[in-house]
Amino acid sequence: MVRIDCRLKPAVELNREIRLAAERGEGEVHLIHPEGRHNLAVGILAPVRVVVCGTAGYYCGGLCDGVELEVHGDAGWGLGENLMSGRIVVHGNAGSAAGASMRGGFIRVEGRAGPRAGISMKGGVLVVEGDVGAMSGFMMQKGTMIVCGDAGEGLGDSMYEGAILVAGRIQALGNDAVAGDPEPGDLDLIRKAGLDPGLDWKRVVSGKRLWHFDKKEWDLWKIAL
Amino acid sequence: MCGIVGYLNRRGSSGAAEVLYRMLGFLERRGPDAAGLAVFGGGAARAGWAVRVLLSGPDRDGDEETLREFVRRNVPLREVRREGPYVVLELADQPDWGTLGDVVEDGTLRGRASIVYAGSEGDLWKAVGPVEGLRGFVASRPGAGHGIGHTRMATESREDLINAQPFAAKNMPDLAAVHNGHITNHLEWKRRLERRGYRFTAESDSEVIPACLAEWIREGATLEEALREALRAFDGSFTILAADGRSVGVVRDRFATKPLVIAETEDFVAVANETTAVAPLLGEGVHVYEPSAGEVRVWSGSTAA
Repeated sequence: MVRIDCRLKPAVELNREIRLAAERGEGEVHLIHPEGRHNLAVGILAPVRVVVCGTAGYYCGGLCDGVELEVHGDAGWGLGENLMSGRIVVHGNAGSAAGASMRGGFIRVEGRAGPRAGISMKGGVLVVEGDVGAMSGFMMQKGTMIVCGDAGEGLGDSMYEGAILVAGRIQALGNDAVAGDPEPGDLDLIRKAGLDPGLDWKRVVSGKRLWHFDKKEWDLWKIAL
Repeated sequence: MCGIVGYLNRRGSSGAAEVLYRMLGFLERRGPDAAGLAVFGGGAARAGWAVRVLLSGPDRDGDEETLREFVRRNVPLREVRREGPYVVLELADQPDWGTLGDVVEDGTLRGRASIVYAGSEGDLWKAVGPVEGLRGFVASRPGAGHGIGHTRMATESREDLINAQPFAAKNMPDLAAVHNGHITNHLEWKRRLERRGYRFTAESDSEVIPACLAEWIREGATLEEALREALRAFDGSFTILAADGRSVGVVRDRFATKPLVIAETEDFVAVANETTAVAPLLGEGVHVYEPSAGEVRVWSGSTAA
């Protein structure tokens, strides 16, 4: 196990050290004293386990493929952006745009997430055990977002595909987002994530009215604007 | 960019200036052009009413003399003192804020004198350059219980003291604000308030914020309601922190374009636009969270003890 003190090096070097440790076959890297620093564990393309021992700043775990990341604190905005595969668990809250553009893998936020959680998701599973902020799931294209708490306004706005499962209250759906009952596969996923399938789950998907947008369809303009 | 911080000590009036100063240190790279603090309560409060004036003309000594004479003729003065680039007018009684503004900013010294703070419960200091420039002010205000701070990255107005933040209201005592973002319809609001007699002496968009908040509070709003009104009134991107003699408040624009984290415990409330600024304050099990878009929060209580 390797320990790296975040106070002593810039993020570029920290991340290089994690990559080198992974290449050497080290199973686990601990980042100590993170103290809200940005860009921790970014661009890690190996199945190494990274533990952030405290609170991380922006873009933690971004651009990773295969990483197993655990944050013992909170994460700032842009958590796990563009995750290709792997697993990220935050034992706290996440800021804006958690799991933005993620293409695969699994992200779990045990607290709440800020606005735009799962924006432009392209795959994978994002679980938020608390509430998510406004415009979450905006332009989502694939994958599943699971929200155990409440969702802010504009949920699933302009989403193309994928599904958002919400157990709490939805403040307002976004443009062309439609809420319905969960499917059997959804409940399996919820169970697999260790969550209670007995909660009042709603499944939010695209209404697909914006898929074939014709500028002469005035009613759609009203929805879009 | 720009760094913004807010802090409220829930256990009474002390230590806030020092905490805010340390928090700002982490955000210096977000705004190396200027730094500023507005602190309230305890040692920040004065025995009476005071007005902090910035003289920006080339002949400071001459202007100070003119100001002294001119104010003395119109407003009952207790003392006039020079503090760094500022002149502090200690007043015998609460003045008519309109008259005072006319006297200081619209007389002979028009274009060379600006009121940067007015009130009895708090005080404000800003300095061009790094956060270090606030050191002396911070040391002189150990009893402050809450306040707000700013590190500035100049975007649309000059890198000078007059355009640095926090900005304070001139039509109401003890109200200041800091801002990260751009208010794109600020000229519209400046014109509207100028028609009501308000003077703007900076070129910054942010100067309009405390002026508008004060205007809405004068019309009967609470600080929280005024911050909510900001959501309707202002276009653009903004996270605004505002503080008065009792409270620290925050409003975030409807798209949450600018970052903000909040840490809240039984002992304190700390807010900043980067986690690095609040992380050193976090004990075991204390979490930070990001409020949603269009959210308004106000915390009170540092001066209650």
